[in-house]
Amino acid sequence: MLKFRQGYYADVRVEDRFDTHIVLRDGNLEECKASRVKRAFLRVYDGEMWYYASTSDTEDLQRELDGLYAAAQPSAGISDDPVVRAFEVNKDVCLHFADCSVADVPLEEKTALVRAAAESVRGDEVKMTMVRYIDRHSDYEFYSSKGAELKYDFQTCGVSVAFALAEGENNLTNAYQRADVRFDALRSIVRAEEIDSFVKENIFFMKNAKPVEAGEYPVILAPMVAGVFAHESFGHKSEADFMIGDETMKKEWALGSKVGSDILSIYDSGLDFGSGYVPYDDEGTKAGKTYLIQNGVLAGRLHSVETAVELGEQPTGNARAVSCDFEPIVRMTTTVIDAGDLTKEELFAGVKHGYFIKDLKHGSGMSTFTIAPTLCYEIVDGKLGDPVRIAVITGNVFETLSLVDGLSDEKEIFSFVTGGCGKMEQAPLNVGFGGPYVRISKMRVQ
Amino acid sequence: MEYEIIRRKETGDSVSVAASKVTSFRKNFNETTTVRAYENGCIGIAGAVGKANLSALKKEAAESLKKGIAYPCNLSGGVRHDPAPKEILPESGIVPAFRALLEELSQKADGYLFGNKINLSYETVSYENTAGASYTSHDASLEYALTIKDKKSANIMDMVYGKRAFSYNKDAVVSEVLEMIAAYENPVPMPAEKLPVVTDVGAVAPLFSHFVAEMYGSGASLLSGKMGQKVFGDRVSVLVDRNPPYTGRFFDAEGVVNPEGKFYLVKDGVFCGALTTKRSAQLFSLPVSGTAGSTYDGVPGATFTGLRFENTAEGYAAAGDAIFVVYASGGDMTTTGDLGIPVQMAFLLKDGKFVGRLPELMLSGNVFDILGKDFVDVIALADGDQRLVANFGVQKA
Repeated sequence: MLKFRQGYYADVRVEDRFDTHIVLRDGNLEECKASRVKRAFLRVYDGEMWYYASTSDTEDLQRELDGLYAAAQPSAGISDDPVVRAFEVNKDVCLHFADCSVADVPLEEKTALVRAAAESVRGDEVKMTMVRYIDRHSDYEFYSSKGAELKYDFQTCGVSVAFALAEGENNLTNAYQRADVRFDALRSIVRAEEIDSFVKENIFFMKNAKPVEAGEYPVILAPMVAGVFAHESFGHKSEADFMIGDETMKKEWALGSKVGSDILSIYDSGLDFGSGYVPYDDEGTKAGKTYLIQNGVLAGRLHSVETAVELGEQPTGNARAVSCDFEPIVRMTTTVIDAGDLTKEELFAGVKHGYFIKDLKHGSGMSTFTIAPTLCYEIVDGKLGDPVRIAVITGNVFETLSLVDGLSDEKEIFSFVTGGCGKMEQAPLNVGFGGPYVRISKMRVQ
Repeated sequence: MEYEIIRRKETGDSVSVAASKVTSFRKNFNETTTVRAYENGCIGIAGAVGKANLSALKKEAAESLKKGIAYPCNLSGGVRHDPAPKEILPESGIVPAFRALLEELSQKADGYLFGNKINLSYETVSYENTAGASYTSHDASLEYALTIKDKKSANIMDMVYGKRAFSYNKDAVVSEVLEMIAAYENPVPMPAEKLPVVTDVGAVAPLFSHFVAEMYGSGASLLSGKMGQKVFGDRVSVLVDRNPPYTGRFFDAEGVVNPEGKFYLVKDGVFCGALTTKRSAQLFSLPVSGTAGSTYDGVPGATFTGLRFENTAEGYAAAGDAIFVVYASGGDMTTTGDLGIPVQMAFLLKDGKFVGRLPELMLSGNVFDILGKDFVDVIALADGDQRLVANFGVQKA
């Protein structure tokens, strides 16, 4: 039992984490490991500054905590500090994966899934395959000097099938990926015919893709790309930590401002199972669903307790850290564009000449955001045309948000076990994203 | 049975900066131990975080051999123990030092907000094996990753002051930040004449994965089948350099120590080496490059640690008049080597000095041209930093 001292706010987060990583390259087992690590992150706040420590010595957390107290200065009025007052005091046990933990699935079953997926990658053009199985089960505990006591868990598992294709001077690398929160569910969604079809499409693409003439064109983003677009174009700008102490930004980002086209709504939610599931954030705030843009209007932003107090708003459960090596900062969970009212066919019919971005390698966002696509196709008279090679598509964030002129009527939400979100020193953070097919009337294609 | 044992200790001190004030101090300590066992052409690995029981780890690694992960052993001996470097700042002096830095920056640039992180890290790694190798290396560095934001701007940040240093020099940091701000405050139009572009060598980073042996050997690399051929200009050399200041660790995760700490991937424009581990070197009949890395409990894999270009010039003045890329995020390369790089912030450079802020740009070019006919120089800067100078295609965004 930790002894918290008077005159300070303190909290302690403990993660007991199990991971599996299996790699099969060209049929040969390259990696096969399962590990369990327990770490803790401790915070002490004295009203002026935060003091943090990260440790693997979870048997003696009191010593670490006392060390932080020694560095800080006690404050008689700490309980009246607005940040301290705003911390939620939740007591809960929220364990969803105790009866289906990936830690209990034998390594042989996981390896068999990897081998089955690898056998689905065929073709003379396939020069290398690397199939990975990755899982994680984390049991968290959180305690604060205000009395919070939480136990909750997180779980993910997935298969990534990466391949390198080559024929003559042509080459292409890409990956198929499926993820879920339960191993039995994952096993049912990693389908041989789907992998085979994806590999064939990539082979066709490699052989036939033509360069594009750089310029501005209408584009349609597939749901996965739309999710990255939402995350990169607007999600990061909704993280309120960049507004601390900045009066210009507070005025520029006043709630109620028009920031996108009337049909555009984007939300972030930690409630849904998947790679962005966060029942409680890393300072004990209960997860919620936060609309960032609703019908084109700035509707909310993502907060830690500190940023919520600074801006006079409510914490949203978005204070997250990639691990117990780091302090929580404001991060997204699962960021999604709401569906619209057009069928996919109607959406494409509205493009005379443009490009369809089917998947991507990565995206990033500042005032200008960028997506580096993999599979792209020309759209001619509303129909899908030839494959094309595009290095990047870019656009000014606000201009592009106002140029969203069509959304399909069904959305998809994706989870992942590779990659993740990077912010400052912390990467990769597990997040989810998704959306419908999104049509943008003009973007720069290069 | 043969064994390798790797012990790693890392301490990190980090300050967070928000609205130009130090808001937190973080102390990290990480200790890991790795044991690798080799027998009958296989590898078995066990790792521990925190305090380790070596005999238990050896037993676990030996047990792990049953997984049947094929891996060559090829251990070699050698003894070298580098001395620990000087402390950059005492722990008690970190917060006061950076408070003083931020106070001075705030006074001299009161129209700007500074944010993000300054990190100090110290790492000691030791390696030993049953062939008699015994190595110890140390690394100590101070990393600035300060965002700079114009208080009048609606951007999340307008510039980043990023630098890795080996000693604390407040005056140098203040001077360099103020030079950036002075240029930022002087908007200038795009120059009418075509100028070379000075950019981080990371601009061509999408090429680096094409040096990895597995990619090269698969035939999917842009360099596949070109070993021994001229691929870049005569003055372009790419190497892995395990000497300070590029990296403090003279051995890789497999205990490989290269002659003079260097391994060339491209020498005078000729492609001559791939990034390998002992396994990929054996698989593709390539030399061992000494570039392996690994997690504490994982099988080694090739890394880019110490990867750099051979410098051909020194200091920004060597670039003459040029476009200087301050911040570029989100660029990539097509499968044919065509680069597209959005530049969020660029300055006009004249005689090695920043003179003004250019509009947002897009850079383009094929990587073989950028390192071939369009290559100008690789400029050496302090503390092992370097910049690529090349004639990119430049377009206003």
